[in-house]
Amino acid sequence: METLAEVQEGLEGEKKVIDEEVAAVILAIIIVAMVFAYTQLLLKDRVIEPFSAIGLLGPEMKIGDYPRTVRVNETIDLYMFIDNHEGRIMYYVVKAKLGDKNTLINSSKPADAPILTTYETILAHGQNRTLPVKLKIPREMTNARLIFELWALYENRTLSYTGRWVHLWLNVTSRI
Amino acid sequence: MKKVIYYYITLIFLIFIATSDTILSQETVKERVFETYKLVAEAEKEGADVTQISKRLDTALQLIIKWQKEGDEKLITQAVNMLDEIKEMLPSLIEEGKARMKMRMFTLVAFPLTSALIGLITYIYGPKLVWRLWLKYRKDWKVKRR
Repeated sequence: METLAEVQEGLEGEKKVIDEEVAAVILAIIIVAMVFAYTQLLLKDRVIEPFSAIGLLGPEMKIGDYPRTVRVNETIDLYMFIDNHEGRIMYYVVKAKLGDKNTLINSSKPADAPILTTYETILAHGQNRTLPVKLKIPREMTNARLIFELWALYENRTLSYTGRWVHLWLNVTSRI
Repeated sequence: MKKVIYYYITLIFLIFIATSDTILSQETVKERVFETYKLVAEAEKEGADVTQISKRLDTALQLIIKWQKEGDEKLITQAVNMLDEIKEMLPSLIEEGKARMKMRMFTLVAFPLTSALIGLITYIYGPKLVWRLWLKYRKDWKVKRR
């Protein structure tokens, strides 16, 4: 019978229970997992690409079923969706404007058109809100363009156009 | 005739006061919302979680907008109370935020340090420990000679 010391000696001669290559692979996996976990921890509350969003929904709170023709002073029922992913609390102001086919609007320039009404909401990062919209157009128009511009009111009292807008083409008639 | 003129002047004056007072109140209330929003934004910068408080702030804003349209004084009282509550809640939220940020910083530093320390200890003492335990649990084994 072998003594304990002899067993230990014999075993130490065969220490490579796990192959070196296998050990290296396991070690690499552990290191990669740790680095991944650490980066997740670092980037947890960081917003990589801040943005605000605005969307126009139909009377059923869905994308679609938008009115195409309305009567003068008829209430237009719509919903507006606003989403904040700016990484901070935002005070949004939506300006509803009435333009036509000649009204110019893009992401840097708001429309030069009369304001019908404004809507305001305050949203924290990651929050969204669906606002009911009830509007009336007081005169007959062909190719009327109902524009909703998203503006942001900052702490220094600056009201800035976010460059986001939506619009709806309408024909406003006195007849049914 | 003079009496009638005085009467009209007084009436116009009263109407003017009443109207200007309403306009002033609306502006003041809107200003209070904006000031509260500024405080909340500042608190957020200091690490406060403003998710719930922003919902209350938005509710207060919507109540004020409704009050401007309908003129129901109950709405404005409710909104002003909400704004006061939000202001009262802010200091504790900032404290919580600061504590959370400290904890996060601690985790960010402690995580790699702990990992490195565990790796070093494992590298130095790991093999010895493994073999010691291996032998401990097999000390009664009998090895057959080949």
